[in-house]
Amino acid sequence: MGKSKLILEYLPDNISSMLYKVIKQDLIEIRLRANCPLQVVKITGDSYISPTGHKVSAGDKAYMLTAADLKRAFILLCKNSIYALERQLREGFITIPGGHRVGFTGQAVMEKGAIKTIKNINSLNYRITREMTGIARKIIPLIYDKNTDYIYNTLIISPPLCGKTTLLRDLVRIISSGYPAIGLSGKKVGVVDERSEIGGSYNGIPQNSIGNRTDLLDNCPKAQGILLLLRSMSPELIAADEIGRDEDVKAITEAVNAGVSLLTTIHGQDLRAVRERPSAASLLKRNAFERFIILSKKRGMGTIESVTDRDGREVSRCLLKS
Amino acid sequence: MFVKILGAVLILVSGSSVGWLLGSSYLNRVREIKELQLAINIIDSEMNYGQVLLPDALKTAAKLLKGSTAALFLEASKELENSAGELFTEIWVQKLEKYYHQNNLLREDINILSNWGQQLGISSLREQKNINKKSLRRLEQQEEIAREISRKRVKLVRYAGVLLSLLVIILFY
Repeated sequence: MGKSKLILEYLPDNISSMLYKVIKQDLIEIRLRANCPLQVVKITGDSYISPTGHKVSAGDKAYMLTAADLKRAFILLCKNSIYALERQLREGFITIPGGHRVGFTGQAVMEKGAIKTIKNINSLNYRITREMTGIARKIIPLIYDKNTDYIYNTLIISPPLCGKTTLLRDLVRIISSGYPAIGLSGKKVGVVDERSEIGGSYNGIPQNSIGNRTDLLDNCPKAQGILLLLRSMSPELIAADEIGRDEDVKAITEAVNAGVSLLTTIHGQDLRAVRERPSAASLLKRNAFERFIILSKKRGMGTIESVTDRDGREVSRCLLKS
Repeated sequence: MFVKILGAVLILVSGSSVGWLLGSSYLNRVREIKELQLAINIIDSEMNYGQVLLPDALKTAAKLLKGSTAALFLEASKELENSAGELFTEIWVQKLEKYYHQNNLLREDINILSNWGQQLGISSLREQKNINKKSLRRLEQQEEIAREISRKRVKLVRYAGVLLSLLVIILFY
């Protein structure tokens, strides 16, 4: 069974049979909303699914999801064990085998000003992870200094759904396994996978290919994870997804000062937008990063807009000149 | 004469056995209710201390239980793991019906288990704790009633078995 088909096991029978045919296509999301049509999203756009499992553009011809469908889907998603997923209920997503992430919304229950749990789920978003091995090959020479055998501290910047995590995963895999064509021998990589998206771990075991020299810390807050890896696993490079909190800044500074290369991502349209974010701005001021990869969806998911150095010069052009 | 004695012995043995078995069913009900309480306690600790997923919690309970109660939890666990798209409550209702016919429990005992199963795994840890506690309390009450009934009836039924078979022997001979 393909990785994307694993998702069908976490959907009610009637819905999984409707999606059986379309799941083979390049879907990036399946959206379930109470009292709304069943919807699938591709990079090129979205469409509805009819009760017979065909794509339709008109909402009134699509299968209308009920609150009972959502309830059933959510219980299946939790493996009939909602009590065991309290942390995930607070965070609003659950990772399932294959590394797919399912986000949800409903009624938030607050305690001491923070979300304690989310109940009465009204929307589910099944985000399909697709491993795309080899996509980072052309990027590697731009973030690797052959002469000093050094991987530059790199920040991948992009809006959601542009392939940040997919690129990060492939970079990790290549750096960890090595890339002899450019003289890169494999490096010890430590991955802090707070949301189980990089390794796609299930019960702690990575389901995605993340290289031969990768130590993965799953389900762990980034700041604590980075410090733990520094102390215990002697990594040459640490990778983490979606930085943005103040405590992340501290840990990243610690790692950079310890001489470990860093590979991470952040949400943002471009470098200027990232500079507006207080925590990221302080990191940029400290010159923590040496390379910036900007992604977009202009020519499909994972379009590389530019790779720049800390002075904003395009690295690819520099390489061409030299 | 020998045939008559043999016949009388047969009537006495079978009558007493029926009485004995009927009496044992009251004692077995008490034992089965106690076993079910143990099961809920195991599931409760698996949920609270290990935050273990329901199929694994059921499996752990099955390992520590005996007889048909162990089989009930093991089968429910296996089916829950293997079935795609089926909820625990649906599986539980089916398994419970089979379990009911294999045991000495009354419908009211089974209803407690059925209500418990219908709420299992679909709410927060705190709510699950309450559900387990409530079901345990109700099973304790059932155990007390079952114990009281067994105290009154076990001896009665067993003596009745012997006495009735003696009466049949006297009437026939």
